[in-house]
Amino acid sequence: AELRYAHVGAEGDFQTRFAAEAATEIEEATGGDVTVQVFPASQLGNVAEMVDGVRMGTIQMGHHDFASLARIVPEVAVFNAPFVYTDAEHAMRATDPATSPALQEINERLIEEGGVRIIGRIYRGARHISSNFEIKSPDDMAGKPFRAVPLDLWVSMVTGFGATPTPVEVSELPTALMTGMVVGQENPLTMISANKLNEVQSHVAMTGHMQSVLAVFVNEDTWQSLTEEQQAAITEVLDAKAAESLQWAQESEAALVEELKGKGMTFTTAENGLDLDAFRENVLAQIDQDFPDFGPYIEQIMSMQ
Amino acid sequence: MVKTLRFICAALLAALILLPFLQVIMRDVFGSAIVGAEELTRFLLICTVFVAYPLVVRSGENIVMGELRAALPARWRHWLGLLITLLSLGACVMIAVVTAMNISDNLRNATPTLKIPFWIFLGACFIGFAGGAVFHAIQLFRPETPEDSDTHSVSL
Amino acid sequence: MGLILIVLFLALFVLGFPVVYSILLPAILYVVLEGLPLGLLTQRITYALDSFPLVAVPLFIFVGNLMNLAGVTDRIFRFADTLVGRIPGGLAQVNIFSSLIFSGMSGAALADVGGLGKIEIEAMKRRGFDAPFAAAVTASSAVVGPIFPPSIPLIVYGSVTSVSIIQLLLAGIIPALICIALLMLTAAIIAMVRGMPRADRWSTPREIGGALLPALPALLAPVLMIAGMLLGLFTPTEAAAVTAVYVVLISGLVYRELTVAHLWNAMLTTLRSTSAILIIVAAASLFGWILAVEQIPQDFSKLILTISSDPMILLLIANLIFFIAGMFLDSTTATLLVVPVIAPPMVMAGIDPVHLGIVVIFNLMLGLLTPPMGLSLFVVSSIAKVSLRQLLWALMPFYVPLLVTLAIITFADGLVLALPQLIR
Ligand code: NA
Ligand code: NA
Repeated sequence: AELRYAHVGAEGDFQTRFAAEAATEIEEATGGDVTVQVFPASQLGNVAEMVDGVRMGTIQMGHHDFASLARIVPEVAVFNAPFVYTDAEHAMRATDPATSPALQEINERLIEEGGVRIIGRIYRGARHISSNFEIKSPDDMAGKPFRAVPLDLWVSMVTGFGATPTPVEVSELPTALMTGMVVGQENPLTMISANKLNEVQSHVAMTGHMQSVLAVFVNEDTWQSLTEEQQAAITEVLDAKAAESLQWAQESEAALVEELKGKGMTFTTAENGLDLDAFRENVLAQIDQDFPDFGPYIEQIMSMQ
Repeated sequence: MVKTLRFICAALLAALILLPFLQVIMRDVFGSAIVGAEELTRFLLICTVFVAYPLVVRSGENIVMGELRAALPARWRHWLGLLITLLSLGACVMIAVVTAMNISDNLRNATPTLKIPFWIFLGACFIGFAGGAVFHAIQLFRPETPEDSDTHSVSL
Repeated sequence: MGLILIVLFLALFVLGFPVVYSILLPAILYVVLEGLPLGLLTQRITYALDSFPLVAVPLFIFVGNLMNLAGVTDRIFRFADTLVGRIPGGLAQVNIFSSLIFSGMSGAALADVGGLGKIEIEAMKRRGFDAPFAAAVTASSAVVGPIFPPSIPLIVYGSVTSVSIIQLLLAGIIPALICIALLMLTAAIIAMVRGMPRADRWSTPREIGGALLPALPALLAPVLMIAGMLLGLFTPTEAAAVTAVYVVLISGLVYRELTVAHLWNAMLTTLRSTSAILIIVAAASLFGWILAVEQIPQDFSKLILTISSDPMILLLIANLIFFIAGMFLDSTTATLLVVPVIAPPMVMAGIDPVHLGIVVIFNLMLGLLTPPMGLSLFVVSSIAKVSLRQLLWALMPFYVPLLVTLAIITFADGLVLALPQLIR
């Protein structure tokens, strides 16, 4: 079988490395019976097109934030929800397609309602808040314009932070931060470094509010056309790669903190006064209010600590 | 029908101008951006482009490089014109039919923030190409008028 | 298969098929022959337009149309006349300078030619300039329209490449000014050699002020737009909406020349132009998907990088490719189909994507002035009632400043990037 594997990650991103290496290893593990051709950098379209492409079968495989599948099953976004994981390892356990009951339950519905199956995940780092002033508690963000990814989950989260959610395209983000259209944003440190946001932002609050885990998904018909051995081989490759991605991200985070400090950014952590509990409480309350359906899944996830 | 299309299009364009303007006012004056305004604006753009497409076909304003064709002998030009109209019609019908089939597959699909159902802009796409097909069909039965042949391709 | 598609596209295009079908027909054929789900057709066509930056396209087209209808254009021309009418070349200078002012509100080259160009050519003919020269000045000065902000081609480029549109727009300012200065210099030299008429005396400050006042609202439009973007008050798309509302207000309340009929006509013309351009964006995205699946851009990237990885040489290659593309394709089609193939290896080799954008769009605008498919040539020759041959002959000296500008923006990236650097 020949699989087209699309994603929107750019050159140099962990997800791009993940996809490229996974493709080679799947080919090796299946003795060349399954070949994977990777199309990075939105070559086959943006996120929505990629998800629809996998549903339709024009693309066989892809990966992105869990929330990108919310157009099929809204509750899948719970795996992107802020403050539901205690740490990265917890996030990886809760998103394991083989063992996580919450994920399996939602996966059944994705297969049923959209013909899409989650078969793996990628760890991409924790998301932190960057800004051009010091942030220690949600009070510091009150009423200020912060960039929100234009999805309701993010809008809800930024509202929970106390800030005013303001949508900005990724390509205009550095400019919007420079001109002051928004005074801060949230992303993994890799993104902050790769997009040189340190040039337009002075502070990072190490909130780690979201564990950025990406879902690797496949078209169900394509998946069923593979033999059980092939499926097992692919799952095994993706599982090993998921563990590797966690390692890449954790190794790089420490280095990135040093690098960004060297470039003049100031980091706020729990040690020097960051009130994480206030963030957690406010944001979870907002999420609870905006997404009542998440409740049972959040409980399931939290019980997997 | 043309009149209705024109009114729908003009209303869409007006919304396309006013919505981002309103967003600026809301954000910069009142400090509270409208959630989903960008999504609605993008959605309106999709509808505008498709719903206006029959008008483009009707007035022969599709961007075309007609220089070679204009240089051909009259008879060749006539047959080539017929072929172009026929294949253009075919392409429009094809897209319209596929889009119509697509609507039923996408009944539950909606935009992420405002949950605008997909069938609305798929419907616009259908209207665009079905309408385009209608006007191409009319061209088929009313072969080109003299002034058609020397209109230069004009695009902005 | 990929190459067959490209050849088929070019064949249909040259035969005189509308661009949208030249793209759609081979794409449909591919989808059917490959047995891909037909839904792909609809999916790509609709998603391609799901773009906030592209919303600026109808808005800026609307502004251009409204200006031509509501008397803004005449006032710009009169104001430019008091400022530069005395410089050797007289109305030729006015013609060139008006284009700069006009371009501050309009995002398309042909809006300039179609509206302002008509006034300019008629005025020049009346004052004794020969028609081919008037036409040549008009056509060459219209090139700055999409270089100076706002710019529809730059918006399309930015949306295809995900490059900051604000930065692209700012980057266009200095090249546009250089181009205008060089064109004015050329016109002055030609006028002195050939002894052309000019104003008898410089205008008095009072006269300039008298002409400035009516033109002021128009002059303020680009200031409002650029300042608003720099201060973080609005995004490029919102800037377009603000400009549109502003122009409706000044032409309705200040100039009082806006009638309901004008507004209605401007809207309908805008709708047809928008749809004609963006339907190609939609079709091209389907074609682009197929080319990507066929690995054409990827193969081409490798090929380019084997030739050289020196940014200077790559920029020269880009110039050559886009100059040729501009000769045969209209700027939207060329941006949509060629940029995704050429830009990635260039950016990978270290060329700044904003700089590349200006180089690409300037080349494509030159394509409006070069046979065989030079849209600007056709429009201007029909407005001025001169033959293509006469027009091309009169244009010869003006290719010099245009090519010099191209050379400057290609090699002096510091100059192009000076303004975007302010907000990096
Ligand atoms: Na302009
Ligand atoms: Na001019």
